[in-house]
Amino acid sequence: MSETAGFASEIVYSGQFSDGRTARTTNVDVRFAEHGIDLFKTQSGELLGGWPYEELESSVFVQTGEPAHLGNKTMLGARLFVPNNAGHRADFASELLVRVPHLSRKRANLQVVFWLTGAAVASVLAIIALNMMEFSPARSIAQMIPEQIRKGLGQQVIASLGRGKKACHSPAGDKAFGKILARLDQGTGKAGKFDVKVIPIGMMNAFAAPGEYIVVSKKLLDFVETPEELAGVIAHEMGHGEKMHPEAGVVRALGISAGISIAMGGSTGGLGDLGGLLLQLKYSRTAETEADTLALQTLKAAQIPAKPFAAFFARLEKEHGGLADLKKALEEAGEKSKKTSDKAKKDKKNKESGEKKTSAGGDGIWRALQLLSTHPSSPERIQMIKSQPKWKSAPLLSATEWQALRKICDSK
Amino acid sequence: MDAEIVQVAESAPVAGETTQLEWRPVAGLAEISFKNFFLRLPTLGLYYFWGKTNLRRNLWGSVHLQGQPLEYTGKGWELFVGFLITMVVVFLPLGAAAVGLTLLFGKMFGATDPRAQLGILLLYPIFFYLIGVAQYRARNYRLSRTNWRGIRGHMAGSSWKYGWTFFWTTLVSLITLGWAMPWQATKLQTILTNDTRFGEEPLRFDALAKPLYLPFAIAWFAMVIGIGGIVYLIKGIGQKAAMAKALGVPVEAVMSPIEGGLLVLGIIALPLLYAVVSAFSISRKSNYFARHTHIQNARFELKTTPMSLIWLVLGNFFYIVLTLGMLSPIAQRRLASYIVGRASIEGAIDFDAISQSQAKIAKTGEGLAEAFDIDAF
Repeated sequence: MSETAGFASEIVYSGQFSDGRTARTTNVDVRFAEHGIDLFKTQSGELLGGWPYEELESSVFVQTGEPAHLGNKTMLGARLFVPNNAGHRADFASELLVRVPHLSRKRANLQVVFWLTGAAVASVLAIIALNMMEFSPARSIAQMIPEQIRKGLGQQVIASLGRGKKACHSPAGDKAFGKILARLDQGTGKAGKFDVKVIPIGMMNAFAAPGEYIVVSKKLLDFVETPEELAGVIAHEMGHGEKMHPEAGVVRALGISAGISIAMGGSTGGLGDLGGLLLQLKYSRTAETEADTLALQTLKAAQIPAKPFAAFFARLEKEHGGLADLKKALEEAGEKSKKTSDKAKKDKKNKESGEKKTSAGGDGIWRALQLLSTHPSSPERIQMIKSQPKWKSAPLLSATEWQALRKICDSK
Repeated sequence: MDAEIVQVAESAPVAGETTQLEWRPVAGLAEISFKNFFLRLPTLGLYYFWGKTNLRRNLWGSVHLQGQPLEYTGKGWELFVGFLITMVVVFLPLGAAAVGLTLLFGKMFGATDPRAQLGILLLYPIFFYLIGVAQYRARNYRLSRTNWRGIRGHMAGSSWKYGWTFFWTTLVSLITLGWAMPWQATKLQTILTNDTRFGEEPLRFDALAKPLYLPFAIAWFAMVIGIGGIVYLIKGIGQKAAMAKALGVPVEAVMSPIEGGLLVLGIIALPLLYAVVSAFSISRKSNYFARHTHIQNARFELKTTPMSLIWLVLGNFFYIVLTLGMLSPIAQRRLASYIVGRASIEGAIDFDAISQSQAKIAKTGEGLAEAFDIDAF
């Protein structure tokens, strides 16, 4: 006989056969033959048929020492069940696996793990690559959002950031502010495109919201020293708005949260907190550079000097340096916890060593944050602004107008 | 080899016979647990669907009826694709609608007005409706992937119709402060069971709501009294605290330790009370429903007891919480083996008469149910 004869086996296993048409079952004797398993009716010994090895399948993976539950690819629904006959001199499942290794659990499982891990790694790499190529699907999607919705989004952002505080107005202040905005509009060539407000919110900031809204905080208005500095800041935010950075940020944040919910196994929710999402927006280096470039074009066309804009950044760097704000906040938080722990009069030694640890840890975090910061460092930006050739410029506001603008939030 | 087979003498159907369902655990559950837990992160969550499928294969294969196991024939990718489709077809539009409504209401009332948040409430009925639809569809998917002797099941009715019944009966239950719940449960179970087919063989359900009301009433009043008592205690302590503040003395000076003790006791005891009374009513309901589920001339029998149910749930709680969910497959096995070990079929079934299901097999599954996270297995 040929070498395949070695594959045949004289051992007879008893099993149960169902044809897949009804739930009836027939007791059968099962034998391993050369090219497949042969099924015989137990009572009469009559050959029912043979199932070729390559046609066997099993949704419950065949395991040594376990019952085998086999199907046949060409006989839909038909099943052969072979129990693991305790005390039998041989194990059907292990004999089967020698002949049909693909029915093993391990191989099928390994494949799934391999492909899934591969897919996950590939998608992470793809995202990183697309990011490096500055490909921003978020921005393309953002450009498709109708203006009305962008406006609505912007209003909500401003409302949630301002906690309902109204924009500041005073007759003389409004007039002065309008003068700056008119000059900037002259620079962008798009009169009335941007809606710029001063709002007394807690932080020192200026930001562009979706729908061509720009908010300057009262604290920032206090910080700038000249109308030209203020114009520079607003021009920069107009740059963000022109390039739809806020809208793209919203789309990106929504996309990320959807991605996370998929990774967490499909729990959805958190559609609600749009405001919270928007607060976390941060722009990339490229986005900041884009905004700066546009700001310089605007300033040039509006005949506003760029130097004060650079001076503003320099001062900001000096006083609030990059992430200095955050560091200060961390320090303040540390002070507070120190005070409360003093009150509690805890074990002094313990406390001192703990304090050292936290401050050292704080420094580490601080450095890590600086490394991770996506914002271009101010020196770079200052350098870029300063490197501009000087252009023709005209004064923006008179001293009295400027004073009126700075007091725009004072009148009730 | 086909229908020509001469039937081998099977044990002929005998009236009054009992078929016990058997639990014969398939090896490999620990491995499944570890894999499901640790592969989640490196595959960014994608493994979840395959892990769930592996677990089902194991659990289904452990259930034996007349010496032959159930078989789960679902695939991981079916669950995954079902989930993706649901995300795109249902949740993307719903998400867009949520944003749209928020903006619309923001415009109507002003963005800062709290009423602006009310817009999203308009979507809640849709969610409720979809929960019922999801339940029905998930059941259909699972039945179509459950084989015994090669015969699979299916649901013969419409998930949209069931979703609607689920929706309005839920409303009635809310309006009646829960008193319609036994009626609702019976009504929904009637639809689910009567629509269920094993092969082409229908199941029949003839339970009534009435026998469920006594255990329900006991549970309802126990909870109302329990919650009421705690609210009363908290209110009293709040008044005392206010008094202490007004007098400028520490709270301990005006409050008796008994009150505080009672409150702590109450807060600990309330969940326990809930567990006990609901165990009673769930046990009664499950046994009763099973007894009124028929196939041919046979009926199911389930013998759960409240105490064993509490023990099961407590044990499972620790399995899941103490291992941060890693051993939740073990918890699911405990639940499945608990039910199977106490279930049997009374009366004979003519298996020759049960023919293969002719229903079209859905290609993907459970997307909606996955999104709402509503299934036990």
